[in-house]
Amino acid sequence: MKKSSFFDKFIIALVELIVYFYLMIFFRIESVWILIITILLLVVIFYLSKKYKKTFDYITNIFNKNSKFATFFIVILLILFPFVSKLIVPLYIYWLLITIQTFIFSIVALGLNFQAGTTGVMNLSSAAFYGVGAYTAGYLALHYKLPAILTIPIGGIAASIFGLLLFIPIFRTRGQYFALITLAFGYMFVLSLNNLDFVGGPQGLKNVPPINLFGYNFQKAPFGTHFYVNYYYFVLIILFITLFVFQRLYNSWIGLTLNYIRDDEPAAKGCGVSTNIWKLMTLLIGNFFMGVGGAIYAHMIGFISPPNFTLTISLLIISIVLLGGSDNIIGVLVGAFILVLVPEKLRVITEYRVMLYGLLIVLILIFRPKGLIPFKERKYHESIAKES
Amino acid sequence: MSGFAVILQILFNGIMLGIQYSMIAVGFTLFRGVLNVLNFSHGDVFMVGAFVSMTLIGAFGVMSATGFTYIGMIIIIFLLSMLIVGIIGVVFERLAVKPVSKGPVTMSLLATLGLGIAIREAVRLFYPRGGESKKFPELFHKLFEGTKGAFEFSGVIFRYENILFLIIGVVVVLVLAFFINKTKMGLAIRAVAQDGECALMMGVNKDLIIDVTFLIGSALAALAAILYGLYYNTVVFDMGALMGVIGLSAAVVGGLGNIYGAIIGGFVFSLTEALSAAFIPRGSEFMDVVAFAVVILFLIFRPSGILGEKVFERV
Amino acid sequence: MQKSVKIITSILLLLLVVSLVSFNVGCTKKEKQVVKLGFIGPLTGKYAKMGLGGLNSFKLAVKQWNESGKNKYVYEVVSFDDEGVPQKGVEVATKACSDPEIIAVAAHYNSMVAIATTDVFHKFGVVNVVWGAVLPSITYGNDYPEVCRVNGTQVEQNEANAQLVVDKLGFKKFAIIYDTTDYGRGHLQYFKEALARRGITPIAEEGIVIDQKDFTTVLTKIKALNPEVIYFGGLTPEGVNIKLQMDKLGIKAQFLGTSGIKSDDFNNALGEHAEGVICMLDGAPVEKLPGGKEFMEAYNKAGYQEPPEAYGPFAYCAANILMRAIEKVGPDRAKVIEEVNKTDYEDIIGKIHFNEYGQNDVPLATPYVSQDGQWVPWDDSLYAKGERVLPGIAYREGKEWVNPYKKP
Repeated sequence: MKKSSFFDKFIIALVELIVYFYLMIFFRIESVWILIITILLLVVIFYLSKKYKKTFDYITNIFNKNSKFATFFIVILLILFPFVSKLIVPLYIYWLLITIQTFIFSIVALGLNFQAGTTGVMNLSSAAFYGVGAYTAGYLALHYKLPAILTIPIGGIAASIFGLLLFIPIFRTRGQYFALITLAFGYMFVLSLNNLDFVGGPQGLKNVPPINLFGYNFQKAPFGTHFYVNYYYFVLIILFITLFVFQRLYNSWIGLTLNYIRDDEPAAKGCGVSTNIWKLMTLLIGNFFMGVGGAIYAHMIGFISPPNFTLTISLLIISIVLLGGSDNIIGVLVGAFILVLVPEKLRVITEYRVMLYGLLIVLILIFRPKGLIPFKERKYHESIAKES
Repeated sequence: MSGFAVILQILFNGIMLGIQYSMIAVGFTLFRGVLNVLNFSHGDVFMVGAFVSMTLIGAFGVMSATGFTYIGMIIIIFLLSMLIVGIIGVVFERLAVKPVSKGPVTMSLLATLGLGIAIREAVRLFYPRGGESKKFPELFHKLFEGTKGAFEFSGVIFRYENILFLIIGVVVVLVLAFFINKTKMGLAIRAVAQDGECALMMGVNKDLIIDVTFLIGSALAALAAILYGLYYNTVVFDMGALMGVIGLSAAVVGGLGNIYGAIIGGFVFSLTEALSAAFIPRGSEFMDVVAFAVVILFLIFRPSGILGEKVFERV
Repeated sequence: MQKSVKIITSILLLLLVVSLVSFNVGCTKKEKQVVKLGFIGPLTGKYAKMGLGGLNSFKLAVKQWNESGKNKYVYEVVSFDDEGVPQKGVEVATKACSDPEIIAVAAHYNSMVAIATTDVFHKFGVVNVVWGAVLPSITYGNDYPEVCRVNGTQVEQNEANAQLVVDKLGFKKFAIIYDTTDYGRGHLQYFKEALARRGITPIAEEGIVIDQKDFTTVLTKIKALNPEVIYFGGLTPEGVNIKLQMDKLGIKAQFLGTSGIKSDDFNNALGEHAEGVICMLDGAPVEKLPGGKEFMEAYNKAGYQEPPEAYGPFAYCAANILMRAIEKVGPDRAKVIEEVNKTDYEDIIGKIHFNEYGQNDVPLATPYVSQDGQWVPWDDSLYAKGERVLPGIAYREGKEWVNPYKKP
């Protein structure tokens, strides 16, 4: 075991480097062909994985054994991303921005995944909570000159508190009726935003100040790069925190309880689980992260308006969760990558993007209702795992 | 014009909207009955109806016809667009709605939302200049040529064509009630809605009934769309999104599964809007918000709606 | 096992090398230096016609430069679609600015989009010559040298408006409808100021939300007040609906608009209902200037599908301003900003001079009236000549107004 460990790590690093540089090429080449080639490549890899199953299993096994090293190496690669991409990709600023947006949507989708995936609370107004965070942060920063270190968590808390408005519905309804309520709620939110003057109506909030952390202005470009690099690292850190929190929650007894509620609510109730309280809890926790995502977005882009938070955006977030595989943290990241980052490559087809979202949701639900990476059955003990 | 007349005028306009809302709400109620699906793509089928009838009016050259051909063409256009949209509705049902209806209800709701977006965007992308708002022809213009097109009653304007809409609305409700209550097909629809498996056992062709239901529901949406187009004179590709949610809300308020409930719900929704526009300060901006708030209250405290029966939770 | 591992490793290494080598693919340099110019406008959606008219005019100017032979650089237009939605505008402006090859941008028809993106252009240090948005604070509301404007503002428009309807035509009872974006509010503010200078206060001010379709409630309320003129500070889509519903409710008043409804779309959508509507456009009437005629001829010759619409000539001039500056100082973003701010020359819309805010301060606005489905400059119209009577004037005198509309 120990003898091969260095070699294993070498292979892991190699695989990750290839993916990493392939991504760079993907960013660099300004043509739709790269996307087609990528899809073909994925198909070939899928085919090979079936044919040479042994070797493939060997590699996945290496990853499973050295998961810590694999994560560590990915983190290093991600940290180096702005600098490496600057050397290779001519439009790196743009792709940096898109990557940041992918991360923000990952944070928001992780929040929704906790509600819809883990607990089965189908929240169709995630964009509204994302919007509450954005508007709260933007408003406080604009009118009360609060620093971002305060506005971002306050944005999250505001989204949570706003979620409390739904506490009666969550106590009294469930399933599709609750989904309907959240849907109407999302509509009400956007309609109100359009009509409320103090948040700018259809004009939205503009000139939201950039993040200023302990006197360091994010508008400055560090090391001759670009100011988006600051946001990149900031969002990366928040994303890691979010991942850590949800990973811990999922693996704890809380995650188990919530899964129980999702799978069979009356039974859970029968076992003494206070389902309503737990559902409310997931709503609060999930909303907090959505709000944080929104707050960061408001500070970074500097402009927010009602169209940022409509049902279409809610559906985008839901399709991120569904595509990757609900109740699966890695799946959510994959979903965000496919739905936020990849379509940017299709500049020619950007027009068709929303339609593709719609079709994708239908197709996934018909043909692969569990997503690309379905969640695995929980394994509690090595011996049980081996038996099955 | 007195304050009372203003309110009367607003109420009359509310009724005009109520007709359209009811027709869409009926579709939701019917679908929910036979398939146990909240079919969100219905709002976009409604939008397709507007575009189909608009295209037909252009293709037939109705605007240049006169006399009996003119009236005949109007009737043909009404029937033909209802038929076409009905078939479109059935196609969507076969392709997407029925396949997902077997899964969990929230998932099928999501799938139909996605389907709706796909339809909407397809119209935007593939209809010539589909992203712009389109002028809907003034179809009844010639019927009232020579008259002022409206009569005034103590300051309130009643347009003849609006009164015609009202008549159409009442006729449609009566025909529908007759169909559902007095015909064999109507009986079969009610049977499937009540207990699908049992109906199957009694020799009812369930798939056929589902198709027929979608045909009727979508045709009603097409009719609503024509009325909408004539009322507002503009149609746009995303008009179905809000209309779908309103139609469903109306169905919920009236009581899902009850056709009369859906009709009443449509009027409750539109009159709530009209009254909040009239009485709440800056109400015309917040009327939809108030209406949705009413719906949420209904969902929480009386999910079975005004006319619905008590809903039992199945475990 | 060891053997297969070695094979895998070598394959993986090979892949890495291949991917690193392939970086050199697809970056062959062209011989002539190409300079990219960005154009942003609503190319799809409700305002698409205005955006496409602007884009065509912009492209026309670039084509003429490239064919003139005097150019040092070859210009290329990269167009972006803001859909008339602020959020999209910010997105595409960011996109345009993060392409280092795009040296300068001409952006936006909608004021609410233009006001939202000023910050983006300032952050990135890219010059933007606004070609269609009229809200004053786009240029006057900040001290960004990056944001300039070739067309006029609401201030001149509304002053000209008041001059016509109050001083010349003698209307006194005004009801104002405005959309609740910064654009509509701007019109409200500046029209009210223009009225106040003449000692008039409007009898009603009603805000409407864009994308709303049913205005009957607002109009019913206004009808009860019997105004002589209904002023609408907003854009074509809502303007069309309001005018139509106004006629359906039998409101007997003059409809008065701004540059927001000066589009062929307005006349086409309303048909006979558009007859007798008055609107404003900043700048001199292009049709009458010598350069304007040449522009229209060239435009028709180029065979674009859409008409240039109201702001096409301004987009054309914006392109000229940008290319003049680049020719002089070379493709350098910072230098181009400086040079554009010094703009002072004569073009198809007349003299163009940028003041310290980067605003073209040659103040002019021309009133137009809709006559047989065409916008006709007020002075040339049958209405000014007394051959036709405006609906507002007929109603004021207590007469029925007979629509003189003739199909063109």
